[in-house]
Amino acid sequence: MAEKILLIDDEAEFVETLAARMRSRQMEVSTATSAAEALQREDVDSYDAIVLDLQMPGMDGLAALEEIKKRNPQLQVILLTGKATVEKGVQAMKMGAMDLLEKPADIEELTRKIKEAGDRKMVLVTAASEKQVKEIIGSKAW
Amino acid sequence: MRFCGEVSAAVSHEIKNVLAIIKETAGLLGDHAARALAEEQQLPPEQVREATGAIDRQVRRADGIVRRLNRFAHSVDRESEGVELGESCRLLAELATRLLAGRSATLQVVVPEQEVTVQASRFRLLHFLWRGLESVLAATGPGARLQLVVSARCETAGTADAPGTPGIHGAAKTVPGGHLELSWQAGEVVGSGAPEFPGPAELELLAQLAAEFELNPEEQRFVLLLP
Repeated sequence: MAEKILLIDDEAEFVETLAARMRSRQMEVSTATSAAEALQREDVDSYDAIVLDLQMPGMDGLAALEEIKKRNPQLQVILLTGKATVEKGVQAMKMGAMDLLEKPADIEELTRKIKEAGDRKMVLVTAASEKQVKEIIGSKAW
Repeated sequence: MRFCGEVSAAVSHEIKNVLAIIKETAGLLGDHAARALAEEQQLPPEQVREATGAIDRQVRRADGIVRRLNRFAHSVDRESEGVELGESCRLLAELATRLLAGRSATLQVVVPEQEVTVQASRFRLLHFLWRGLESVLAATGPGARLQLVVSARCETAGTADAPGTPGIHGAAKTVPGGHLELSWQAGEVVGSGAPEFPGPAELELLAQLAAEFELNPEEQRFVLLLP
């Protein structure tokens, strides 16, 4: 099954070129040039991975990550950054980012991470569904 | 040192973005070529043209960024030199592109037809204005609109100010020196409102520039008078 990803970066030319490369790798890709625009999408929950630029005008990557995780902790976020600092990286991981890659990222590495994100999300969704089923079975209402 | 670090960080970030686009564009062309090879087809010329066009655009963009950095690097060459204020303010605005974008702010530089040149340290002037920008942006919150107006210094009845300044009557006489006014309108979210500026380091810069400074938080502007 093709991974469904959302790419968010304020550099329109970057995001479109990366999207074209991802599509040629059989991924289903949507793009946004700001975090605010991305978060307005009604289908945010449906992505296997969100690839997000750390430094963006307006809502930056960390703020967007916080908002995404608040909405749906199962969503997997990979951050891209032009200037990775150890502190920002640690902070991003603590906030639930799956990984932080430095720009320009290697396409094969990014592809691997996206596939990993898809697998992780699947495990989390399955675990949540099983828990839900167990709760229903164990409830008095059943 | 901090100023140099901030400018270098902003510029290197811009260069990284350019490199990322060049890398992805070259990669995309490589993907097209690999597919064409696998299918024993010719690589469509429009794909090559699109990719080379994108790379050319980004190389020109990088050239502009590096030129800017070079102008900034040479600002330390002389302790005092003829500094054209319009050019320096435009350079400041270009260097501050990321700083402004990070706060969704805009900076408009307004220069007069006649060049205004002062004798000063270009580096110190840029440093002082950079700190001013930072302080204003910290105080106004995201989405602020800033305007930096350059004019020649004028003297009217014992006061020195810009030509056409409201409230000043009588014939204005242009005197040597420059007048810079940074005004701002706060964005959607208002911060503390008043910039905490100038601090001790900026006061030292002012002394080195032999400049006069006036901050008017109510009117949301500050004025720098250079000799």
